[in-house]
Amino acid sequence: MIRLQDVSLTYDYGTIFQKTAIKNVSLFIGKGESVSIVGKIGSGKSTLVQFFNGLIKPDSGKVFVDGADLTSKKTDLRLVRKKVGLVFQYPEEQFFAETVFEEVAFGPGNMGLTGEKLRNAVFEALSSLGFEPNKIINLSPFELSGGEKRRVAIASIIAMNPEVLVLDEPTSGLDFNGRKLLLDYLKNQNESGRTLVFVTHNMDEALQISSRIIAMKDGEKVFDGKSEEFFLNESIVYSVGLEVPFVVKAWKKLKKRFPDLPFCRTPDSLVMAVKESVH
Amino acid sequence: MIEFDNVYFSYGNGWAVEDFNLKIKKGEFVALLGSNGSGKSTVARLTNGLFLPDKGNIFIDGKETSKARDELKAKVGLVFQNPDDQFVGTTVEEDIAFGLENLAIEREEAKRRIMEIAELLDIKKYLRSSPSMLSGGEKQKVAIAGVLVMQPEYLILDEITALLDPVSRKEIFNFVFSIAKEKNMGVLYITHMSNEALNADRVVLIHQGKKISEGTPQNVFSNFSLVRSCGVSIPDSLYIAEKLSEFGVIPKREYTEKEILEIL
Amino acid sequence: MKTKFALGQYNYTNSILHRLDPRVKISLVFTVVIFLFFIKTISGYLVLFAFACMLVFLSKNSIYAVFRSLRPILILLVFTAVFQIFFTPGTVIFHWRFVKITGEGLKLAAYISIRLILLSFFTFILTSTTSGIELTDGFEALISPLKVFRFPAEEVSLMISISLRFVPVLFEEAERIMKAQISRGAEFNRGSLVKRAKSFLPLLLPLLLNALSRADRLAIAMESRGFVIGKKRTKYREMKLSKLDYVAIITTVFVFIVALMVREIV
Repeated sequence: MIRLQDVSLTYDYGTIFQKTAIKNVSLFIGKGESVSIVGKIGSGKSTLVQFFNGLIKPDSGKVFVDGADLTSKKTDLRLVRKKVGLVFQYPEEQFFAETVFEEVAFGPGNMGLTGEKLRNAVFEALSSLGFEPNKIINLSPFELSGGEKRRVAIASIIAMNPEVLVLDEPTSGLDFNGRKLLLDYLKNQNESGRTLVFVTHNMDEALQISSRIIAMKDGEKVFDGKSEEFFLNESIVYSVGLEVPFVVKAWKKLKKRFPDLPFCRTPDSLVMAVKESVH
Repeated sequence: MIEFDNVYFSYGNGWAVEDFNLKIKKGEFVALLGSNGSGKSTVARLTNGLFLPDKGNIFIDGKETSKARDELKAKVGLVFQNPDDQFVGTTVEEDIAFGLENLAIEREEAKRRIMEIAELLDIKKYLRSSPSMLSGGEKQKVAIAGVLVMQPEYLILDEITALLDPVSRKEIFNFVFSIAKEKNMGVLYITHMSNEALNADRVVLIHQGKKISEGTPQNVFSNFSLVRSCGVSIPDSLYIAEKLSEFGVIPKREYTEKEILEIL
Repeated sequence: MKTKFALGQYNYTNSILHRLDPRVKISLVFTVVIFLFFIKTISGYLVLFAFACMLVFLSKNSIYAVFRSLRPILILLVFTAVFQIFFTPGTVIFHWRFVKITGEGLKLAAYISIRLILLSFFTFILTSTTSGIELTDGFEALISPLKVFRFPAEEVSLMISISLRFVPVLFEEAERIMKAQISRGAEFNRGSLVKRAKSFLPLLLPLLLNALSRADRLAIAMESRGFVIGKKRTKYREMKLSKLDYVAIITTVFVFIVALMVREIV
């Protein structure tokens, strides 16, 4: 689906500000996967995903989406952007339209949808994110609450019906309930077939949502594999500047007492699993 | 002591803060925990006189915030969430000097204080740098320096780690905690992250402008449903410890995160 | 993502000129520019030109950078010169069909061109050796006498320095918003003029709102650090006159005298 081949990027080449942002990264993300790209701020994780929809081009190496070479001039980037939907951090800061309808319709409209099809796309996206479309389409996006704004912003990308959904820290700024709802929504989306790429430094969320972890440090990929392997390896997690979630630390200890304990990703599931083992 | 006495405040649409009572003594580290829109940022702005209460009073060491508003700014230092939006100077040194310029402190004294704070926060190497060259955590350090240099007796920290990554968050939190204890400052640490609140002397839970609960972290978090109904999560460690003690896996008592792992 | 944005032509090379007090530099350049119009002889201009070359050398700028600084005025230069050459009345020295070139025209074109070039050089020397913040401080100091007329010199200077400080921030923000909108299929360079103008709304509106909310937050942060408009403040940044500044002033005056007194060579 998305393939990066030995990709590198340097900023301000030839000046005193020269900085290597991405160093020789290769990876492949297949259809239907749920991958979390983790790392500290400045590790290159946010830059990396900008290759996926052709926003930026590497200095060397190649980027392929469904076989199409994004570095070639022949590739229609618009089609790529329809396939790979990118949700930036604090996406509600992109709002500019007078009504929620216009805002959500912007993306699909740019992709060529009109009339009935456009309307359906907007309505479906809004309902999938828990709204009653008729109640909200005529409101101003600026008058919504923080959590509602976030969901409308995400709906504006969902409305383009991308095959791959890339989200950069989608839960920042949300409270406990907002986070839970959003994470559940994303898990459902992935279960329904949407490929999910989740960029974050929140280890608890990465643990919950993805089966695969790609860890970045100083522009290089230092881990690419199953998420259990990553989280159970304390030294790797610390070496990229992140923390092991408490759930995993507790699980490790409990596994010694209860050898049949399955790997748990949330406090609730851990507690349930222990209860089972005790009885 | 900072004292909130039956305080009410409104932005024009209902009460943002309602019948709020709070006492913070020098040397205390109090966490104000709440979800977005709970009123915690409003409380922050009321503490240093930026806003004045519509009803009720706020006293800083006995003086009302409506009087002596200028000296209040030096006494009660307020640090905000977004590192970019606090930076005024074109270099770090200039920015830290901003508060001192406002207090009409002479250059000699200002320079002395700045060097002292830069040493304390280990930012001497950045003094000549421009803000665009610093990371989020470093910028927050500068913001804190800019406030500490005014020699406040109380610190109000409004979600100062919210936009940082986990490592920087810990660093900044540990720093403000130790500096506050060292200088015996009264601290109101505002956050929506339960894990940070675990380290406070006292936790105040706020929801829809009202104080819902107050006590030691263990006490406040022991009421799971109440805390969750305020849009705040229970720290994983406490939740797991509580449930495990219910099944008899570990004895029932109060635990810190370290203790739980040790006993398992 | 940290993009370093260099505003203007400031080039930090730690030359002698960088160490001069900005008030002195601004005043001298201002004076030189006015003085340019009092010189009527070619040799006078040559003296000033030699002076400019010396300053460029002292500023440690590359010759390439200096000539590049002429680019903005190139069109103006050519246009004015051509205009003067072909349309000034006087004794005709060249005649072909309806095209007339006069001696006076050539002379005037030469003078105007030289003035423009020298103006550009001196301005470049000023901006390449004086940072934005120094320029602001210098201007503030020079216009502060206007405070007598209630002109808010200090506040204006603070506004300028804060704006300078936020230029890179807003540029990054603009880049971020542009990328977000491009990811939604927006295109900024297609179609008719009207279409293009409309296409900028998804960029400009969020940027404006962002700038406004930053301004709001910054104002609150400033107020929390005790900033009150009108209240007495001390100034941390200082400008001190040194021997070097006196040397600069005397040298410039000397150059003026020489330029005025040198005989007509051409």
